[in-house]
Amino acid sequence: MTRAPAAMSEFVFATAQYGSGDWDSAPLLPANIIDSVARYTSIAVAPTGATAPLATPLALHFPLLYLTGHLPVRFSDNERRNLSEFLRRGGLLFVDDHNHDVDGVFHKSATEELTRVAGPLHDLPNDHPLYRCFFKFDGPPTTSQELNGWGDNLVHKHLQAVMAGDRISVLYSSKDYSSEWDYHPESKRFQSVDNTRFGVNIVVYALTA
Amino acid sequence: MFGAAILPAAPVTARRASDTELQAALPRWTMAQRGDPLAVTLDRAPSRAQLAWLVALRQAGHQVHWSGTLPSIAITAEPMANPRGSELLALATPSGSTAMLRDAVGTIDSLTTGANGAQVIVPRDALAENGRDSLRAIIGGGNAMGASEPPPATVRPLLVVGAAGWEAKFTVAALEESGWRVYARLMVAPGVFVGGAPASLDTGTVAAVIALDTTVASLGSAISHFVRGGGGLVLAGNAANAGNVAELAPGRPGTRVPAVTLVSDTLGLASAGWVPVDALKPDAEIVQRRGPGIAIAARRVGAGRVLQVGYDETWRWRMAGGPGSAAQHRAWWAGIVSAIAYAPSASDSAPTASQFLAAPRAEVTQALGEPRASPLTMRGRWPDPRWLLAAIFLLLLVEWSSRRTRGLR
Repeated sequence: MTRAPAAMSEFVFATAQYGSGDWDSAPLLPANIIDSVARYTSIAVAPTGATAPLATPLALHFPLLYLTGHLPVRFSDNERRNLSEFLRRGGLLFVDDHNHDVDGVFHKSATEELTRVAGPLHDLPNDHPLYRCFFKFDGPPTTSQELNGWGDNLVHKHLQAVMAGDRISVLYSSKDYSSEWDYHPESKRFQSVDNTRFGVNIVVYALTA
Repeated sequence: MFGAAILPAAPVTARRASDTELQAALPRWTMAQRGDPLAVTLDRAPSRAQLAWLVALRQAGHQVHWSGTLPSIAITAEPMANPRGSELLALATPSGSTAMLRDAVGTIDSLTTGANGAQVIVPRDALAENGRDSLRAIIGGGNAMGASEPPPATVRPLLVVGAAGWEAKFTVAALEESGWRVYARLMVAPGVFVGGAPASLDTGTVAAVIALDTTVASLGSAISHFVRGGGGLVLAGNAANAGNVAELAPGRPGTRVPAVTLVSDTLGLASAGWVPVDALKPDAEIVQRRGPGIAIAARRVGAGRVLQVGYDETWRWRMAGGPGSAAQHRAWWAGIVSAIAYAPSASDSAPTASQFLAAPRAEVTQALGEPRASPLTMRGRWPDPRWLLAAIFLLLLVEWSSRRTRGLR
């Protein structure tokens, strides 16, 4: 039998596992974000991430879920039910399109599923507290995929969100942070500015808003 | 008079009325000759106006007495510090009594009282518009009315202090969903807090502080002044280990007991990890036990109240509990905070508008004296003739003595 995570007081970065598609397409991202959270904040964070199968109630143990992939997303009934319950109870789902392509299959299928479960996505204003809750940003930071013209060849000016009152319930990114942040934490030393800082904001926002 | 003194007058039967006849009798009694004995049999509580009338008759010189089986019952309704509004009804009746709570519209609840009476929290919106004025507890043939003070004029915001984490996030969420305005001062890095905070920590700006961990130390000595001035304080988990609140806490945090749950378990508060309250201070009260340990304890400090809550993972109950657990989590936190929050009264001397007595037997006894067991009779309104006869004999004796001693001077 699977035990619920023992150290529940710690923040555990969890990747949502769904039956269709390639849910684990950014395997180094969790360790990188965990490293940044530990590096910049005093938040008690578990040293390793977790996998949260959306089809089981285990997903409800992780109030911040990261979901990504390249392939079409089709939730099962159990996945839809658990995800709906997760959002209703106050969880935050962060979805990132690993294709960086609004014409891609992930974007089309994922936004369709999210609309079905949580409601339609809307542009998130760039002065939202998400961009100021720890590091200060003028909006969503650009990624090298955007600047290099890969994918849909667009620089997306906004993230999208489904709101629950004044709180973000679903945060959707077409910017491909999954590629941007999917590297070994040790490699941060080669960067002039740590590009995972916005990931810290997402975690801080999830824990405080 | 000699005849009356030697042969006592026939007893004068008092003017009598039952509780159902009292309203009609009172005008007649008012017109009666001053000093007339008046007796009322009370098996049901008189109205507040009727009791006031009886007291007025007594003060006007009538002898007012009562008898009957007026039950011992008392009810108080105290508004709770809760933005949604609720009343804490406390009922004192003989143990084992079944009491019905009613308002102007109908029955609200029925309950059986124990040795210490009974308490029930009634949401204000469950009462009729004038419910608080007509609220009654009915037991047997008697009834009582709760005449509580007006609700708090304003419910001040709360301040939640803790490290950024799920417990802080979902505690704030539960309180905001319950209608509270919440300042959240959450630490994300040493010396770095997110969320707002009041300009000053006093009962003019904050009703209660909810400290989720030792981050409360950042409030310094202000928290002690706040509590002694009437503010409420919740110390959850290990918060009482912080130096600035240790002396305020009902006890000392013990060794943490981790949750042992399986994914298939339905999570609840009882299966959450917790920190027992150890070394209870002598003036602290145990609110909840969990096995051999103390899960919640309370203490008054100055004018304020402090609640030490062992639970530090209530968010799991909300997120991974069974159906309805989010609402239960919300209600639990609202109850915890309402128990200690500072709630200024709109008026400390608000007159009661109720026509019912809150504690009929006690109030009637206080106003009219102890009940009489037997029907009231008396010999007349003049002084007892035997006393007059004795006085006359005494005067004659003085006169006789005066004459006998006149020649001795």
